Amino acid sequence: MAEVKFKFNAEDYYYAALERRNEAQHLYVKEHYSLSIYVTGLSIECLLRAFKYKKDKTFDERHDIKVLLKFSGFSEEINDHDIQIEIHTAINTVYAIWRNNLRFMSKNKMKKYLKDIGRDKGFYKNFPKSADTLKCNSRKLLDASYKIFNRGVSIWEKKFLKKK
Amino acid sequence: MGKKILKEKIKNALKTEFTEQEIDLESKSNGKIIGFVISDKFKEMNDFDRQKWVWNILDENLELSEKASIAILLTLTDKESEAYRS
Repeated sequence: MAEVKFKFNAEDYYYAALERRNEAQHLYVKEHYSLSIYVTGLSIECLLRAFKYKKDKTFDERHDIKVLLKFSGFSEEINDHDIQIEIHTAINTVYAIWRNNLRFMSKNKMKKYLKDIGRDKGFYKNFPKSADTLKCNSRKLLDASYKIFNRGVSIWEKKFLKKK
Repeated sequence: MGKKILKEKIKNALKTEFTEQEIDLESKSNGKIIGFVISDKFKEMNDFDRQKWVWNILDENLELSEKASIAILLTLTDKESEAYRS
């Protein structure tokens, strides 16, 4: 029997990134904050993989944002200094919060993890004290992802989408 | 400017506020610099203030073309960094 192998190209990752981003927003609206956190980070991983794959077609099974940043060249596409700080801030938020093993965490486990890294609800000054830790982080991560996606989609369309 | 010299210049600029152990820089094959500043001085600082702080240091110490060679510098606390590696 023939072995089934999935091969992904840059466009597969790109369109998956857009879908995951929308799904993360949907999960937030439905108050599934822990899953929204995981899926938002996943959407950024897909976007970085799309950019990386345009330069380097070797598959890397690691889910390391630093490696993807390094080989995708994504952050180097931004030259305007003010926008650069905005995007670097957004990437910093993603890097500080997200990791691939969040998918294994229950809500309580994720709350504890966020508290352990110092990102419990008190960290975000613009949220009320009564706010939920998962909700705050989910919102922050989604906001960061919008900034990354706005820039990412614009670069992608300019560089890779064929003009009709 | 050579990759090594630029990396040292960035490190020296950052050493005005951080220790050598808190700075981890890497040169990419295209000459761009990617790295981390991992310090508990970032505790309770939001991501924008961390980045603004680091970039203010770089603005004061580097030329425009040198700053353009920085791909990204991530700013993390010890715990954030530790959790990422675990």
